[in-house]
Amino acid sequence: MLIIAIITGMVTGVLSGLLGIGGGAILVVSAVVFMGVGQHAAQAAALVAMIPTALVGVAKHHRNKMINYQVAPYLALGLVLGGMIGAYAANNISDTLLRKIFSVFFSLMSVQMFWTSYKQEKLAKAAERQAAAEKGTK
Amino acid sequence: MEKIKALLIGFTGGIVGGLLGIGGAIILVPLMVHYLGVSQHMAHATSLAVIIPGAAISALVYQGFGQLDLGLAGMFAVGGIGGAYIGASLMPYVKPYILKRIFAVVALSLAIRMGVS
Repeated sequence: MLIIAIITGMVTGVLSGLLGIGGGAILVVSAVVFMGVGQHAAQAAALVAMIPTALVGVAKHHRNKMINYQVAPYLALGLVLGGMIGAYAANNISDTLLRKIFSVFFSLMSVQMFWTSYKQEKLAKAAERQAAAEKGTK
Repeated sequence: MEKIKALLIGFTGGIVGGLLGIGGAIILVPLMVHYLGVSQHMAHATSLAVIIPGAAISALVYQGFGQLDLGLAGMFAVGGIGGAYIGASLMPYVKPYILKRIFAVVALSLAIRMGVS
């Protein structure tokens, strides 16, 4: 169990780093599907687990001056209020229903990912062509 | 006006994040780019910062309902930080869009499995 949890966390970290997507959703899915954790407990663990990883990223972004501190306090306040309501709602519905809601969300997310991968490919290929053309003129 | 928009965007991200146990960046980033005129890169960085208090409060609520296993969360976090380093160093060797496409298919099959079980 211990080893599986650490490996799950690692795989999630690798994927979220490479794909540019939040690790939270992948953690929930892994915990539910591969570890047999209940939906609520999986979500609670994912919420806590994303905090240290986010802190590491935030420190880097802060140094690079990429955090917009004009809007951040209002976003954060909204998130705190919304987060409480969302979490209360989640804990007042059954495990089965919550899992179904999550699965709909995760399906939409994967379809969106499939779609953006084509846009990304187009951009990457255009950049490659441009680099090749520049090399040719030299 | 910007402040109210930011508050509403955060609120929306918070509800989804708290309900589904995710950070909410997937909701925040596009809304910030579209309604606040923040660049994609800055929206990513800023969303990472603001999801921290949201995730913490949501986790406290789950804790109140006896759903939080700190041991499990800790192991996820330890693995996650290690994995993030590995992911960052693998970056130059993979084509992200191919990986994304493969993962999208796997993710969809897992989602369906979760939904019907």
